[in-house]
Amino acid sequence: MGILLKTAHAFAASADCDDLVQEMLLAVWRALPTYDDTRCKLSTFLYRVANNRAQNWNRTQRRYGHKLDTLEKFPHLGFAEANAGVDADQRLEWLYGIIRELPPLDRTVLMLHLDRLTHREIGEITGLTENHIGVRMHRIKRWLADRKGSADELRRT
Amino acid sequence: MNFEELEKVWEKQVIAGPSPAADHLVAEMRRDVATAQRRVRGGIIVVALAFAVSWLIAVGGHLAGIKLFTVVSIVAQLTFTALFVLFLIRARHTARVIQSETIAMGQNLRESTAATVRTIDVQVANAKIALMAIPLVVGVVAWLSLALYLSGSSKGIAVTANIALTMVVGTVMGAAVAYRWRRHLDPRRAELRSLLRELDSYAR
Repeated sequence: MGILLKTAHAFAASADCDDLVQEMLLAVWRALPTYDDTRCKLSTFLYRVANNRAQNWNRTQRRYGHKLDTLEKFPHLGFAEANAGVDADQRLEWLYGIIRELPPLDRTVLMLHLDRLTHREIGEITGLTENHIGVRMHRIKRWLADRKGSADELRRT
Repeated sequence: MNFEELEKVWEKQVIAGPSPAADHLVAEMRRDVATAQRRVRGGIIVVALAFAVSWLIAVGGHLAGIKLFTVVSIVAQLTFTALFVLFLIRARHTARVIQSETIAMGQNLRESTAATVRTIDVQVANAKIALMAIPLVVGVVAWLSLALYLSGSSKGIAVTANIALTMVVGTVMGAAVAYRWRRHLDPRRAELRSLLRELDSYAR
């Protein structure tokens, strides 16, 4: 579930997050019959579907026009500290706000890297070469280092 | 900003809140997919019924001696049959492309994006066909209505109403198709093609 929630936050602002999670769930449901456990791990398959749906998602397209009832009782992202409840939403918005500043492909690469996937695994999900993923991560790190005001924002959260 | 700081915040994330029962979620998704499929099937049934009813009325009217077939009315029926068959062939092709996009969701981002671009290409092609076909159909309807009037099969008021209604419906449909093409499909296609070019440049 964490894979879908994190990916949804990286590609949609809070208001549209539920819509994207729903689209991802349906995409997983529909693609599941094509899953072959001899070709990739289930987590790789889920990362693929979640990122594919997020990259191809069009917020103007409402295919079903209603939300699944279950989404109201759905788990959500938070923070581990005891006092995190107070500013958890703000903190999430800050974290994913930075990620959403990146171009879509960089968002995918960064999130997968943050989830501790190897370059080979990221390559299996995106179709990019391992070398290129290394280059891209280097550029992302440089972009983050050049991003003004971020360190102060982070400390405040 | 330090990348390690971002990593630390990322790692502190947890999944909170209730977890829905898997069987309940599966049941709900199954119902949702079934509803969407029923809607598509419903649309096809409505179009097929309209087509069948027009033939039933024409044949029934002829057999009952109410309105006998003329060369013009037979040409009209056959023209709409041909259009209906063409529509079905196109709809089937579109459904296949959409199906392959669904399957590609489980493949890597490059393959999945290529499949989505193919789906949008088909939708753009459909829009172009519709924009060419709508004026053609309106013209054919006007011509056939006029021919029916001249052959004495229809009254002037019915012919005028028929042509006016077809023109209004055709214009509204054409405007909706053009709007979707220009405002949604074209920008989306450009966006996805650029992503695909980027993925292709560094493909494994």
